[in-house]
Amino acid sequence: MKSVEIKNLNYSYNVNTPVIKDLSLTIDKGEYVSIVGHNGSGKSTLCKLMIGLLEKNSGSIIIDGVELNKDTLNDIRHKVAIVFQNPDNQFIGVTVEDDIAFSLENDNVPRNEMIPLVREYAKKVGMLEFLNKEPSYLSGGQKQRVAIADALIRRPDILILDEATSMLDPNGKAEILSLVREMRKENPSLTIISITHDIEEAYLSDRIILLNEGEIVLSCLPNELFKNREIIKKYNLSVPFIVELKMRLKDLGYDIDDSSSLNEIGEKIWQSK
Amino acid sequence: MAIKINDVSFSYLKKTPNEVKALDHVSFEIPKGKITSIIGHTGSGKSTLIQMLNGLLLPDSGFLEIDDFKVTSEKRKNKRIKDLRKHVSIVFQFPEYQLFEETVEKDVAFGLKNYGLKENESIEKAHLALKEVGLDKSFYKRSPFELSGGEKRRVAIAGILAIDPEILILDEPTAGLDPKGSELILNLIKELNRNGKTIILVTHDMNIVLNHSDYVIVLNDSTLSFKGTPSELFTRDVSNYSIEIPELFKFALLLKEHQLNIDIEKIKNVDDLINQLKEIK
Repeated sequence: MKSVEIKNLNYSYNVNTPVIKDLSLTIDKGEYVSIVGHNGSGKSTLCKLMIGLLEKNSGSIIIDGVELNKDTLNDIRHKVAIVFQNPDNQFIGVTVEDDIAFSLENDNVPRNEMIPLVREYAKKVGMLEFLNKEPSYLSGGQKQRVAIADALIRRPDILILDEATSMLDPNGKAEILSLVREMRKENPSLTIISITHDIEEAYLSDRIILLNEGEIVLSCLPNELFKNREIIKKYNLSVPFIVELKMRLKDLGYDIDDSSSLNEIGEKIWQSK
Repeated sequence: MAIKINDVSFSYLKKTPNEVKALDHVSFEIPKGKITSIIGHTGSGKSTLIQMLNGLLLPDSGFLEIDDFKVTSEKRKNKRIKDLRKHVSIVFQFPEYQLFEETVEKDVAFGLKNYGLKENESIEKAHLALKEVGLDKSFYKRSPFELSGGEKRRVAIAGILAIDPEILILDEPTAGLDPKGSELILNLIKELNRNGKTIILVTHDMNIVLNHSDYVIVLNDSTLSFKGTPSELFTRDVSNYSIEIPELFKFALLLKEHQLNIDIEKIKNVDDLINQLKEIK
């Protein structure tokens, strides 16, 4: 089943500079897609269009079978949740508990239902013991986990991570990535769209979409993208170390196509000596 | 002249039940004219330390010597702190959030005007600083808010360079940038160092430590755990430091362990490794 269907989408901030150019894209339910591309390629604009924060010039966006327009905007915002880049810009509540409850308050959820729900989602993101803590006591990774709880508690069909790990230290990043893995296990029908510069992170997804100047250059399995040296060079993408190592060793004449770990690659080298 | 940290201690929320020790009798030297990385987990004392290097924080005990400046616990002894801040400047994390002027050149010139320079002089110096970070004329009159993340960061760095500090401290200079943006910033840092500036980097990125620094300092739980070169650090047991050894370095070590003739000191990036393997083959 289709989760997102975008057809011939166009958008420009001003007349002379189109940001999204006749873009069409389909994402299946439960798929985990990474959108990569340099700054200014249109990644964030695309996400903002999908949740109706920006209004398209032309084309259509269909979320879970419902076309996005003024009448359906509210329904669609219930289907799509987004976590932004900066952990400090998304914390509204005085405490973790307040912050997670905030989105429920907007939906008029009664208090007696709200309390157990907040606890449940705090637990899901591993923040149960921090319920009464103020944001100044939390690390960046912890704040982003609260932002994910805020997003998930409204039970969206689609979760958009807009560079959600890019301001975190390595521990914070690892926390969020393992949380994403758990979320998918628990709810296989949750569609995840991750905008990222972190290539190791994109490597974990089902599919990578490469955007450049508002157009899709490539949409393929992570491994296929990393094998495409022309594309990697042309669009200045970084690749995981092991991928780069294999490419470079191949140039030196080592046959390492079927080696999948650094140990196996190493073996080939010291055996050939 | 040198940068010396002598038996420095510092606590936040002193004499309260919530007192937090940030630095505990820390001593080391930072060589001039080199690039030194300071690493350590969140809360290890890195930020406290760099703020002391330009007198934003004063030690509770011990002292710092930065060339002919001295930072001590006693406020009245730190008379030249304004000059110290011209000598040692910090580019904080995500400095682009501090941009606020309506044009790029005005933003870069802002600090200079604070130091008493005339409008036209400060704009002139701002142009030079913008050239240093690779932003040409076409950027002068633009609003800093319409630039890309990487460009904004370079404008913010230009604002510091305009003051022409001798020692430049950068806190997570590439965080949040795309690969191209990161590369530009790292090349800029190298270039500044080549032109004589002492660079101190605070980073979590071990590839930056390996590829771009001459020396590395590890802070762990408010104390000094290690000082030396990156390759010395990565050949040690680092399991207590919450440091991830770069995969490149691990791989090079693995080859060396299997009797391959790898000069581990010279492995900074993939090119170095491939070149050494070419020799072996």
